[in-house]
Amino acid sequence: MTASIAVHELSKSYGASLAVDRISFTVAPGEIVGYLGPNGAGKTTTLKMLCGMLAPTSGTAHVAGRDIIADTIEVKRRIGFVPDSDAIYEGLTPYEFLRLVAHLHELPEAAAEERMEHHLRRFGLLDHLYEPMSTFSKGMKQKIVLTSAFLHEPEVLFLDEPLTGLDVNATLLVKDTLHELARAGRTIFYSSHMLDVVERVAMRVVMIHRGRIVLDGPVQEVLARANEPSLEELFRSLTREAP
Amino acid sequence: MIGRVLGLSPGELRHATLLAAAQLTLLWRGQAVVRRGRTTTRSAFAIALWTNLFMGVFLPLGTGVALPERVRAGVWMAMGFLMTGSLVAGEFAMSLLEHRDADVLFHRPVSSRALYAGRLLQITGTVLLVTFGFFTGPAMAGFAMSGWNPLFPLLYLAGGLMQVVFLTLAILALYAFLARFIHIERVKAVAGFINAILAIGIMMSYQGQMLWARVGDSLEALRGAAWTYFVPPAWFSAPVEILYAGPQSHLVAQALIGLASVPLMAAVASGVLRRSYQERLARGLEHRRLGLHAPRRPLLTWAARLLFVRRGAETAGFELVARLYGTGKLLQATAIFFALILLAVWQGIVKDPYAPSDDLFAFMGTFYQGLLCFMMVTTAGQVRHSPYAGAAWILQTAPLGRYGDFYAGVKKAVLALSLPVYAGAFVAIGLLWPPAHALLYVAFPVVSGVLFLHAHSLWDHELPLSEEPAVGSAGTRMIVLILASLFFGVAASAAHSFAFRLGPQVFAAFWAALALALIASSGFSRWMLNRLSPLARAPE
Repeated sequence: MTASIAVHELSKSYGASLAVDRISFTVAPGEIVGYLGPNGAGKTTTLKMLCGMLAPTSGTAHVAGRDIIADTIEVKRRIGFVPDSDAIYEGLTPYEFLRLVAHLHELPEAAAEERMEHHLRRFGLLDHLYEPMSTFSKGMKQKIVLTSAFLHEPEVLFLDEPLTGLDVNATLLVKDTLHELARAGRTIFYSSHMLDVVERVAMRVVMIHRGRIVLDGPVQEVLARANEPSLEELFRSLTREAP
Repeated sequence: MIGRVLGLSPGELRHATLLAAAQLTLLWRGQAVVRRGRTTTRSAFAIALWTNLFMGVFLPLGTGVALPERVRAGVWMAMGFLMTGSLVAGEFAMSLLEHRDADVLFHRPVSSRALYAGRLLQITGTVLLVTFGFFTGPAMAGFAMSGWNPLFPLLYLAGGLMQVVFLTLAILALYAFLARFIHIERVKAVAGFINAILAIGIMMSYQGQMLWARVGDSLEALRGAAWTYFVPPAWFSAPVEILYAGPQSHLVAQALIGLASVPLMAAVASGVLRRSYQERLARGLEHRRLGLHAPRRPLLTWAARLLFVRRGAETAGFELVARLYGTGKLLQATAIFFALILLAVWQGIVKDPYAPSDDLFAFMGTFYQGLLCFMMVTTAGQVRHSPYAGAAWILQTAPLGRYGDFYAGVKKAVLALSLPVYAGAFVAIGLLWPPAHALLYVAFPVVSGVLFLHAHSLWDHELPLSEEPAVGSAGTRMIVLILASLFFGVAASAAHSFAFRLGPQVFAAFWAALALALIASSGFSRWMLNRLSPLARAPE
């Protein structure tokens, strides 16, 4: 089976600073992978490279079977992205914003509206469809961003701290949605600091520290291998700085 | 007791009081719950600024200075109130009449009556704040000039308070009435237009000042005449005049009219406002019931179709810019720009460049036309320097293979947003020049403006809405744009006027060349932008 994400010796440097250092991993279709690491480890840089927002310094990567450098547009057609910030066009209403996303992905209008209604109803935001998003809370904006990422039914979803600002019910709902998507064969690459959530959602974890992959494997297997009771303990032991 | 007077239950009164208190507290800190509150605070400070400007003409009121001076001062003051009052009242009207209160009602356990009462309390509090901001300085100065007569500041502040309340209520009633038929943003645009006419035409132009001076002089003989009974500033300055001139019958009558006018206007405003407010609330709630398929901005959809927006990316570019910039400040700016053109033509600053004349001011017509030629480019610059720079990830992760199409949509939106200005300019100029000349004067900036826009899109081809707003006008790009507008715009406009003077054949050839350049530049810019696309490749 072709990997949904295949990364080989991928590096990114900003001047003399090496943010990502020759990382390699693959993700199979339908897999939910938790991408972990302390602040500044290179998680967001990796995501931006895989989404075609940032050019790698060296190495190769394929997403949904397409080269992220040679075939960037086709990659973007097949991915959904949720950033770690809630920056959106706040002057628009959710309806206008999601229509914009639908136009950018050239979705048929009827299909776009149907999916929009489906997701917003699940998130309890259908009543807010025509309100300017400037009045929205962080959690509400995050739900709109998640809806925009689901709208074109992407093959691969890149999520950078997707649960930020969400309440408990919304968090549970997103977790269920991610499992549903994975069962439907979608690949989810999930970057987060919330280790307990990753432990419950992800099938596998990849941990990056100082730009290098330090751990890669199924959650239960890596815990057993390292003889640690939880991901939090494992994370601490792997990323602990020398005194 | 208060609840009974207002017709509110104790619970509703508590809600209203808490809401108003919260609003006022936050307003004072410049962080209102309702976003408009921040603008209202700025308006209040603007009024304080006006105080300083009017101090010189305001102080003579009631201090024995000749009547024409006082009339002039009264007129100036009335204009100042009208301008600033319309701003403040406009902001209040926005808070009251836009759908936001429907949102509050929809999600909070507050009744519409409590919300309405809270809003009125909020207005009252801010009016008091504005009044003291406006009048305390002159009152204290007058207190000293009147030999420390304590009645002066008291009567002065009372008159001032009544004047502000009266004008605010009158403007608010007008807004509320108009908002039943026209969108509130458009009402504000009309107010912006009137403000621009008043501010620039009357206060800054020489002719305007002379006009008001003549009015003042001619009224010297009309002391106590009938007209003074119809001028609100006369009513409200009457108590102070009584202090100096004694209780003359006409002054007492005016003071009484002033006293009665405030509750009367309050009743009128309250009636109009309550009706508009409830209609708007009902409409806002209806929007929610309609769900997904509620009609949305039909004008914009019509404009999109008119401009032949074709593909998904092009529609996205058009809708993004048109919806983010299509209302509010841009509409007001359009109205003010329209007023400026009307005024410039009316005042003779801009003269018909197609009429046979050796008048030096005919050149100003060409110069002004040159600025119109570059208006779309400067608007495009505004789109680039966006408060939404953080949201650029949405476009960066979108599959925009044909970036030229997306940018074509952006350019069409800029054109669509600029068209009202050109249409307004045509109407304004057409009132004073031969219509064919007015059409020519406006059509050339539209066509050449699009040409400049294509050229600009190649120079400034990075992602629109991707840079933080430039601070002031110090940005290098802004300076370049201004210089380019002065040079290329005026040069193009001068060439157009020159071709006109060389005869019909040359003029026709000029337009044919222009049309060809437009077609070629449209295709070329789209092709080049597709190649230059910052989105088809990841940035280094």
